[in-house]
Amino acid sequence: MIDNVGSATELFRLMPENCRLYLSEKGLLRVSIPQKEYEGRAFLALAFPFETKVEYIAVQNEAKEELGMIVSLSDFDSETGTLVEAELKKKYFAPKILRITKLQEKYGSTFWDCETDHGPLSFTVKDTHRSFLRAGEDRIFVVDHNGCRYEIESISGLDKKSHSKIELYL
Amino acid sequence: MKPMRKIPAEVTEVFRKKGVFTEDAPIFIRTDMGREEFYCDAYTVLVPEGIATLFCSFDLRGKRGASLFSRERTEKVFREIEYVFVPLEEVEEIKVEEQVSVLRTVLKRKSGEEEILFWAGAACRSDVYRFSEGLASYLKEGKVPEEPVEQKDLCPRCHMPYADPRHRICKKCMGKKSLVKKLLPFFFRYKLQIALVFLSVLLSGAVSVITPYLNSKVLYDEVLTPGSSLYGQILVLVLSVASAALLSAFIKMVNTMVGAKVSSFVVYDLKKTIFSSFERLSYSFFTSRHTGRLITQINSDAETLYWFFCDGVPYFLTNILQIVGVIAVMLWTAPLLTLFVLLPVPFVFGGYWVTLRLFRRLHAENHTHRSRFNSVLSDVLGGMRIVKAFSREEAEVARFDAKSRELAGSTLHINLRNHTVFPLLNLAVRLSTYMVWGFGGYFVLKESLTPGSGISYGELNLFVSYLTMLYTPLNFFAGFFNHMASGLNALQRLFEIMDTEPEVKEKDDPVELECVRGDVEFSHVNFSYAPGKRTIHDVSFFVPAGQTLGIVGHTGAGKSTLANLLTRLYDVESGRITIDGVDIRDLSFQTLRRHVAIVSQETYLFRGTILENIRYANPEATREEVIRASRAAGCHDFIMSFPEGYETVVGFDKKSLSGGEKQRISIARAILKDPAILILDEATAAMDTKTERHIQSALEKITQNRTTLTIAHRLSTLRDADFLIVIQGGEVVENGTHQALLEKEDGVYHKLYRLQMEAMRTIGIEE
Repeated sequence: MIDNVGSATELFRLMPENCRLYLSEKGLLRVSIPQKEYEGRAFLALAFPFETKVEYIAVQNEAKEELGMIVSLSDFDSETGTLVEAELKKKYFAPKILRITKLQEKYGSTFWDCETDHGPLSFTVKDTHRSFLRAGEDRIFVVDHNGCRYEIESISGLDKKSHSKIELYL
Repeated sequence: MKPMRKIPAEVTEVFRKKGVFTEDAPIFIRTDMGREEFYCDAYTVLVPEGIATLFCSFDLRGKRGASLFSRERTEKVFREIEYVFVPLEEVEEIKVEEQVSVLRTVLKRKSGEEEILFWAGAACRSDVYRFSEGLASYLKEGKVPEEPVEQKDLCPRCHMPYADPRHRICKKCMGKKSLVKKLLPFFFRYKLQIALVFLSVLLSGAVSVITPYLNSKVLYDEVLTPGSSLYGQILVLVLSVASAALLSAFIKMVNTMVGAKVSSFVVYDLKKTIFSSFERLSYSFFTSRHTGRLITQINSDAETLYWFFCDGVPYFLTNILQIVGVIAVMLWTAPLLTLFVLLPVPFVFGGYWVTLRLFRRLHAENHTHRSRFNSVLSDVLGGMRIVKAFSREEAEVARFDAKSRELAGSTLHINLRNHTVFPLLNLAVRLSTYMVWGFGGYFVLKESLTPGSGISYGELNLFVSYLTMLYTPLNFFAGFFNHMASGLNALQRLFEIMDTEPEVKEKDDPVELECVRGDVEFSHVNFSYAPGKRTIHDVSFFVPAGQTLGIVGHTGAGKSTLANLLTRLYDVESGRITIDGVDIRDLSFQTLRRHVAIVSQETYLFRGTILENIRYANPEATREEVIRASRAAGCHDFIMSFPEGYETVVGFDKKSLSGGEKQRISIARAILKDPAILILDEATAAMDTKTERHIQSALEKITQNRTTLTIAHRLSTLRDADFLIVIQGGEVVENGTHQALLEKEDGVYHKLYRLQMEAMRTIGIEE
């Protein structure tokens, strides 16, 4: 049915034939799309960041206007794939919580001390119940008061002590 | 520039060695990430020669030879990671690129080449934007804008930075002790009643210890034992026991009544103080919080506190006294047997403690399942129209079934545990009773064989009675600590509201204006809701008294923000807004609210009659004034069509009004206030074209000789404005009269007007 609604829904699908993604000398991602007469900085955005990091990747210009969409990263060679994945990793950077060493509730905020894959980190979460982003049945993102995200890859995979500290908020 | 934390000596030294002198730096910034995304310290300084960044780390390690208890047992070890320098003549600009969690600062060279200067965590957001703006100004004007020195992000007591500067609560200083200290004044108002509660607790403790003594030891060893002084005095004993029971009941009654009264008043006082805090707090406090949650928070937290103080604290004291009294009497009666009695106490207490923790977890899980179940239920019931329209009944039943099963499973789990753990615990308690019977029996026999070497039957009975009195409080204590934790948490949350500082404050000696002409001036106004995301940028305009200014722009351009700033829902970041030449920050809130009225797209009618709602702006208004205001707003006729006229009750489950009707009532409300300055913020946006035109003519009458700021989407609404400004991306991009702007064929206003006219024609409406 969606096929009948006209060209408004059509994606400009980026393929190796119509675009080239590369790094500038100083390591910033750039894209060249001859069909759109564009060559410049490339900014990436995932359409379904919780579901997939290799599909439906929007490529935008500096003004965040969409230049096209990578429907599947497998359309591209592994070198481009690595570039895109590295850029997405930076964009969606979220330290992974490995262990919660201390979780204290005070004044409606919770104060977290955690072991993460980026070393020990401390942060404050306001309105804790509403600061968990569910990315599936077992995976959540904790959003601190600054808007920084921390990932718990598997709630059930946490050690017992850490689990008991957050279960009241889940 | 806002002074950031000092540059550490080690960093200054490295900079000095590289020829960068930080004392020459007009700005510097400390961030928390490296050139790639890893955490480290980064100091970036702007000096006349260029921008220097040092990535480093301060690792904490134990100090050699230092005592374990010494304050200086650890030391920071400085480690240089990377140094980057860019000459200033090569710098074009610094751009801040927002990522999902972090920020990327990109330096653009004059050659066009771009490179990452540093990454920064979201906590550094406002500093990073301030740095990039400071640098831009330095590159343009050779100087950094001066900003007032603010120390708002440091706790005044311990000088530590707040975890959240917008939420000025110091984690370190706000312990449980200070909470109790804060709560005490609420109780001190009821000193006498509290003294009475304490007295009754003392008496009640004493009576509860005496009663078993009477009906066990005195009964068996005195009244029923031939030869003793009280032998045969059954009536005296029964009367004594009955009197003790009566006294105990009376004391408990007094205790409960007074306790409940004090708790109710304290909770009432707390709620009142919190509601007064709401009135004091700025609008931003409410926009950053969920209203429903705030309501639940205040209600449920106040309830928790009520039960904690009413049920928890008095019983806690009674139980403490009971335990002390019981152990004292037991030791006095038979020290050795007391030891046997006390032996299992720690194990039983531990058992209760563990069990309650387990149940707390199970109940928390159950609560989560219940919440999920409820949200599915409310989702489906609320969206029934859509469910039916898309024939999703079966899928919804399956979704409901899954959540229902989870809830049922969790409830079953709790019940099963309940029926296994508690009988086991009770068995443990009973076992210790059996132990007392065993050892006690031995001592009773010993006493009968050799008088003076054991205990009497009465004393054994007394012990068994006391044993129950000992274990009941243990059960209570194990649960009490949970109640105490939730009570203190509730207190913390309530004090959070009371302690939050309003962002918009009235001046200490504000200017009161009796009469306002209505000159409004915005002068170089800048404002942002979130750091770095500027909503209003250098906006200036002047509206002479009695004239109408039309504000035009796309959705999200910043039009309503101008209204929010004029009404001081938020304060400007820089620049000033004046009314009759007086800065609105110097005016009293009363002057501002009395002379400025707003009619916005979001109308809110309070529960009550239409009359009360219109009179909300001016409770003193006569009935005739209300009718005249309603006629002017075009709502009189439909109000009169209701059987109860102006006394029709509006609100949930009562009379429902259409969006247009509500809007007209809110316009009447604003008219009744008779303000010198009227803001119409998309006031007619919710209405159909016919209704809009109807109201438009009413509004024209009202706005005559009154300073009016009209914000509108539909440009036809603004044709008669004396002057128009077009806002785009928070800036004024065009200004002039309707005619003058229409004549600019390549102008934004011209384009917008043309587009809207075409759209109107398409639906058959000619202007």
